Amino acid sequence: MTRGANQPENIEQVLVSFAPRVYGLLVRLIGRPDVAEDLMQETMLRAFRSLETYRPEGKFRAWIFRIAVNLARDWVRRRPHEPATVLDDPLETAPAPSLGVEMPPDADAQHRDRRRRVEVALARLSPADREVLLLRFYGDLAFKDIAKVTREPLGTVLARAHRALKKLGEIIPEEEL
Amino acid sequence: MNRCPEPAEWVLYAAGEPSGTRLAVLRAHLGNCAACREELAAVSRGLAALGTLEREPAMSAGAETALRRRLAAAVARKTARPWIVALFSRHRWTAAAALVLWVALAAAFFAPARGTPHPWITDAQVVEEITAITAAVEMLEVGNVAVAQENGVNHKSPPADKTDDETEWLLQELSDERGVEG
Repeated sequence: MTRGANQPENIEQVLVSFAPRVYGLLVRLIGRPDVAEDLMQETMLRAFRSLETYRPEGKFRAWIFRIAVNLARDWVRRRPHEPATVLDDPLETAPAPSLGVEMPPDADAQHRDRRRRVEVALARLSPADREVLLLRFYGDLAFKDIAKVTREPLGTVLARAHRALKKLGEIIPEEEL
Repeated sequence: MNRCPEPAEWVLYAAGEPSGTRLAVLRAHLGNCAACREELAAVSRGLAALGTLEREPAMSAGAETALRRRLAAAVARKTARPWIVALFSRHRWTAAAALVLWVALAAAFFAPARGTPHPWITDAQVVEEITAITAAVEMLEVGNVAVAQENGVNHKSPPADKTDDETEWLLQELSDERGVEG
């Protein structure tokens, strides 16, 4: 972040710009849109209140996503059964699970179907594996930064990503991509 | 490269993260290894599948408004904070460390010397106390002599050399006076 961005009003804008991606991460981590919105707001407020603790040598984005991941983990720890019943086997429930994310109305049926299959496969991953992929996708973080966010060795993070990506890749035929 | 790299390394390759040197080595290996090409293809399919997700999913209508409102309130609180509070908040750990250091130094400076039998009183205070007691005793002695002379009692002079027996001598004087009065 630049010095100008350090002003409270500018930081407010930066945080708001991160909101949709942080929400995307949270809603797929915990599977509850209402809770994800609350946690997204809490993430931004915590980031704003603890700006003094942010070290400029780290990536600001990684720092924000680390706060979000910690909040999501705390929430799951406090209510361990709720997201598990929603996410672990979503195919058993009708209608098909969307993990709380609305589809754009103009999306074609094939694209919508593919996305739904990816969502289901994602929901079936272990929480730790899913966390790595979501940090990569929504946070746009390098794997070494993901390792810092999750406080795991880089090798572990890469192993998780490898396992999870192969599972995701299996659900979509090569010709569809 | 004869040996295949760790499968997880293809994740870095697919994500475009290896350094230049490593990238060249991995590329060269891919040209000769069908198994690794398949491994890379599987990982790349996974990344492509992940890419079908919506990167910025829509939140509920009021979510962003609520976030802006809460952030604005936080900004207002922060800008209204007195500068000294803001400064202390920013450097609170430094301030706490300085306070601890100050207390430790003060304790070391004002602490009594090791082995002092009565740490609650200093040597100077002992001298002062002894001087005050001595003066009081002398005043008492002068008063007793004056009273005895007024009563016409032959007052004995105290021993020429004031020793530890002085208190005993004073007690004897008082006893004599009581005998005269009686």
